[in-house]
Amino acid sequence: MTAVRPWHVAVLVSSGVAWIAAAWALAGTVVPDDLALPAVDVEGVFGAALVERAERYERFLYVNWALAQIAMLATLVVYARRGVRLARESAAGPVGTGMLLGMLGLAVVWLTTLPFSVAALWWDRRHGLSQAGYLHAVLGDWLALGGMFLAISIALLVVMTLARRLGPWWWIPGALALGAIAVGLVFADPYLRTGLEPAREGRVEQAYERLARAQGVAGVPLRIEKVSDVTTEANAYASGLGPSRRVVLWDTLLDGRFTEREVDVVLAHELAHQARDHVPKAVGWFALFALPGALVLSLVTRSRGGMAQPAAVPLALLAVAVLQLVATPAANVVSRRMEAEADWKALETTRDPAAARGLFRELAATSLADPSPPAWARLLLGTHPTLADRVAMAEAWAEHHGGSEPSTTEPRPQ
Amino acid sequence: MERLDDELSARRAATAGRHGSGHPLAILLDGDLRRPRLLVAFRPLLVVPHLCWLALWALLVTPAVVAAWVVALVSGRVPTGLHRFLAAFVRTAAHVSAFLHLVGRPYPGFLGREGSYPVDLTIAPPARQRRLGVLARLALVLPALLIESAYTLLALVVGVLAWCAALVTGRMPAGLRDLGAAALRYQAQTVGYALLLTSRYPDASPRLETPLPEARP
Ligand SMILES: [Zn+2]
Repeated sequence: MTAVRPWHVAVLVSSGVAWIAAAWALAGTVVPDDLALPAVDVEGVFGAALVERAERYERFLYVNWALAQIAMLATLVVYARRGVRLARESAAGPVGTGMLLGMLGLAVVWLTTLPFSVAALWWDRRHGLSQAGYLHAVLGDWLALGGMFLAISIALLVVMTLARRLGPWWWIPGALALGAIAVGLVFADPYLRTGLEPAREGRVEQAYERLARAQGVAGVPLRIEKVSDVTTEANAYASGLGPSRRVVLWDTLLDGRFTEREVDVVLAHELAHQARDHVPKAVGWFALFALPGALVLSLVTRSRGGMAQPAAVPLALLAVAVLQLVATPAANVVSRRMEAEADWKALETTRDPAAARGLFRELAATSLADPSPPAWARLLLGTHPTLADRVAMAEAWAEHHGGSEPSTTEPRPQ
Repeated sequence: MERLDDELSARRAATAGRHGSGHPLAILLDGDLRRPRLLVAFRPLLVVPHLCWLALWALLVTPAVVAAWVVALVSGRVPTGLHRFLAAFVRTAAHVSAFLHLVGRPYPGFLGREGSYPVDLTIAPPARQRRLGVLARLALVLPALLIESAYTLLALVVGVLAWCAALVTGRMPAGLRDLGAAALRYQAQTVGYALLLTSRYPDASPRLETPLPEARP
């Protein structure tokens, strides 16, 4: 046990103050602070049949998810105890051996959670949400593991090298380095994706340009991702940093199930993510979470000689998994705030709460999403506000802007 | 079980050791044929970091081999520093290839140090090379590259068969291991010849002969 020196305390206190200041700066949104969401009659808005069907669909996935988490943690507990033995299988140096142990840890977790991934796919296929074949999905999942192997190897290369050079204080530069890696990955992400096409429908492109101008976003191309051969679910996302920024729509949004005005709300929502810098803010939040995470990691692995030793890696994997699970509710709060802000800005830009409500109703139908999931699911899985809350925000927006009756709903295309 | 192990050790004794017919680039084999299934199942993915590392390294190899070529053309010899740099690259690639094709058991390192992997490549120190041979190296290596592509295909077949076999039995069939080692040796000798590590032409024989006395235990 080393004695606590004044400069240790000074470093920790100043880090803490800087952390709180940074979190404060990142947390601000344009959603009015006094905005009160009205109560929504869920069955009235979404229809009792759909709500019941979505609840039944999601219930299975909740149980499946919980079992997969238990299997993952149990696997990592066993691996933390026994995984060290696999170091025998390495002819590499300490860092290379650490990388091997990290990758093998992910591999055993992949194996033990594979049945749950297959079960989720079976359930999606049963509900007509997925057309992916089992072999195709498992093989694709296995290949995707190669990317995770590379990511964990780079992370361990950085952390173990710093720990070997700097000793127990590696966690400060280590968290900064992990943040820098996250910046690189997020920047490169749009360039690494395949199957993204420029928008071919002139109307969507025009609406996008108009909404981008309205939000003061320039130089962010719109791309369409072809997913309709594997899923019927609809989605969109904003990604990239600086010159790599993109807004991507799944082609399932443009297959006629959503009205033009509803698609406009999606475009405005994704543009709002770019206008409000949600991607760089998310990276900032990652770095903020990484800092205490790295500190905990350095403390937990001391019994195995610290992160400089490959023997610490299996224990570190368990620690990271537990930290991730513990941080999930907080990370979801951050994510929900950003999503609510994007919804609000989309309403401000389109000024069309009726289309927003139509969009959220249709999303519940096409994704079988429970509009009002149980509290624990919101806490652990709720990256977005619930669909009921999103409808409530559309109504609150209408109320906020003079309480006028929202414009009429567009007839849905057949 | 014991009898099987005896048979295996007899088989090992037959091929473990140094194989290279006196070629400056020779391959060393160990006798361990066990291959733990977990590492077999994920083997193609476990080398992803090595492949990225080798790709980055290759960016430096190109100017290094040009420099070696110019110096060898003038002085008839590749400088020791450049030779060591290029040899480490070829050896790392050989270690990774041996692991990927299940010719070697453990996970390889990244720096290509001699003696760091049980399936090793011994590379003789730089020797005098005829200037004409250096000048025409690019043209001279073409026939060897043709044979090398056949050996690459062979290594792929060996790798796939060995992967299936080892996934079931947890062992590498000795015959496949020897065939894979012969392919790796030819590949290493061809690359070594192209990168000016030696002036000796690759030895196309697929046979691993009786080990030479300098075999490591
Ligand atoms: Zn969003």
